[in-house]
Amino acid sequence: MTGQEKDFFTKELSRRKVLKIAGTAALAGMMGPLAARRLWAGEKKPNIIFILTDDHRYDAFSCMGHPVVKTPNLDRIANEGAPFRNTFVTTSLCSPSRASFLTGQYAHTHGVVTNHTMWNDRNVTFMELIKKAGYDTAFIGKWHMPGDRLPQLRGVDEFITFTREGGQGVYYDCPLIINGIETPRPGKYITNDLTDYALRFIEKKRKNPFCLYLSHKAVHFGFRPPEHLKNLYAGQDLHLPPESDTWVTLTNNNIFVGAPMPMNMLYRNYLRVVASVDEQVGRLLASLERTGELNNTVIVYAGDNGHLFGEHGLYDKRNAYEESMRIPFFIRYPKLVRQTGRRDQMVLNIDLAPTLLDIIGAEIPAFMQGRSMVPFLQNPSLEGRDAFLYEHFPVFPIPIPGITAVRTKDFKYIHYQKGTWGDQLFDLRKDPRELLNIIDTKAGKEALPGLQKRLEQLKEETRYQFFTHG
Amino acid sequence: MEKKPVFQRVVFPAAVVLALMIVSVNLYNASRWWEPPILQAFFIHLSALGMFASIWLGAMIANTLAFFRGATFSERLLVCLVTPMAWDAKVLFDFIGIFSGAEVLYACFHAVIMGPIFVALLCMGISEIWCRIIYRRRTGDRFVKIMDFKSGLVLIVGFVMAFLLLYNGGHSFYYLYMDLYSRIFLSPGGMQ
Repeated sequence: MTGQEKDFFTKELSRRKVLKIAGTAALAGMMGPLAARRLWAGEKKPNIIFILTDDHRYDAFSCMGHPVVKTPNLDRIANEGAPFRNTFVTTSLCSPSRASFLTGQYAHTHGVVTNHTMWNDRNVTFMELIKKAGYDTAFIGKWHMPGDRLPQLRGVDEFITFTREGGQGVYYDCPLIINGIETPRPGKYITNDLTDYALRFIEKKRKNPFCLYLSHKAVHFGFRPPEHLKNLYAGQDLHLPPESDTWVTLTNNNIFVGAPMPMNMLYRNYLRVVASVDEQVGRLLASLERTGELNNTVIVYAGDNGHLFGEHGLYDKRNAYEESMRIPFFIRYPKLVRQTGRRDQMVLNIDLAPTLLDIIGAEIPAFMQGRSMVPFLQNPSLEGRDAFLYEHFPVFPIPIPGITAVRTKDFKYIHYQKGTWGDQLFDLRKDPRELLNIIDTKAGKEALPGLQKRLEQLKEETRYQFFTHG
Repeated sequence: MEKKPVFQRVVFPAAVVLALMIVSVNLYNASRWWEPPILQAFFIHLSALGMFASIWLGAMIANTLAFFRGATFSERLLVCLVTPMAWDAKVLFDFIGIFSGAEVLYACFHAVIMGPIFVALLCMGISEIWCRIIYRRRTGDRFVKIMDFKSGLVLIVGFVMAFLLLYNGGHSFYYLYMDLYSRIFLSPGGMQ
């Protein structure tokens, strides 16, 4: 193996580098939790607002360089906080990812492995633990986890959600289940309606800090913008990837996803819906500013998974490609993020729960498989994880096999359950769009054993098990 | 009407549409990566048109060819169903090894699988009408009805089923289908 071909498994570390890593890790270990706890010693704990959108890609923001969409309010959260540019979901699908955000666990641990598998009421959410820490809590928006009834969410004071279309909801006139009572919402646009309830919750006079989980239906398929945005970006070049085309959603197995419309029309409406989310986030920020709570509130913005718009000839998510598994993740909290700007560490959706608990100084339970991001909020140059496990379980009726993958900073190895789907290996340094599978090349054969070994290690560490039934 | 040999009245009409499908699918998937973009766009649109014409509307072409070559109603029905069934088989093959045998069987009732079959029936029923009108004009044979029981039946069955599958953009049928799936395969005591 030549020096140029050394990967992260074989790279020799200088003594200086070893000392630097060990030193920063030790410092973070010693100082991290203490520093967070000391932040509000003798003062009110911070409020928390977690805004989760559906299918919002990591790059569909003006602050991420998107050539069309304008997102000034979301950009503000990123620019005044810490935008984590390498954030991934451990499973790129709505329900498993949502359960992972809530529990800090992989799908194979919390059990919601697909959009059809039931939420287990024994699962402990960060909302429950935050409630125990003295917070007023509200879950407003998309729950979308299967079951014959909505759960009695422990630790949630207000639970406003919807069950229409299998829990996906609809953009207009979506009935809400407000603390167990179905309430028609004629004439309402869902993103605005949920934001109205969110504003009501955060503007309530209270003694305790609050924790709001605001989970939008947007920007999921349907892609119906509000009336005043329905002509936004009309006629503009959308800069879709070169391999995307008008008919992607109607061809091959993409048709099973059920979005039978020309790609340009879909994507233009997607961007309009993103703009509508941005507007509503602006209302939240304005309210916090008005009430003087903005800088005492931890604001987290994330998407539940990515979305392919023709890349690799695919539409939808589930796959282990970057466009599918990568999500936006911004944290704004000036008291902790003293150095704003991008964070490049690989972080995951399962890291949210431990991070929030760490920020408020609560104990992080051992069952959580994620790690706190607080050290990275305090020190952007700390080393992050070297690799993580990605998993996907078959979801009827989408003919995509089970997937396990390992992503490192430099490589991604994707292993498919079904043999006719050949495994893939990508060198992310040379091929960030993952267009060239190098698994049969010399470089690929050299990297593969290490990646396979790391994948097995990660599976063992997380007690991975395969679920054949979605 | 002169009854041509089986190759000409059955195999040829079916093969024309099937070949159009095979060429279009392969051209579509290959041309995605072609350059320059204008060439890519031309072949993408051309092949998409070919796929749509063969998989969804192919029965109109196949039935017309078979009709004027003297194929019987049963032969014409077969000719019309060859391409949608071949397409369905290709799609269902992708399910094998991912889902259980029972689930693969259940997948046969998915709108995407049943859709091409019933749309083919609808198209056959429509093309029967024009074939009979043309035949009557050409031959002056007024004993041939513009629509008889069998052709009327395929038209009605095709229309009703296509409507049910596609109503509300396919959402209504999809949620019904998935609800039933959950009851069969995911409920306690189901086929897990």
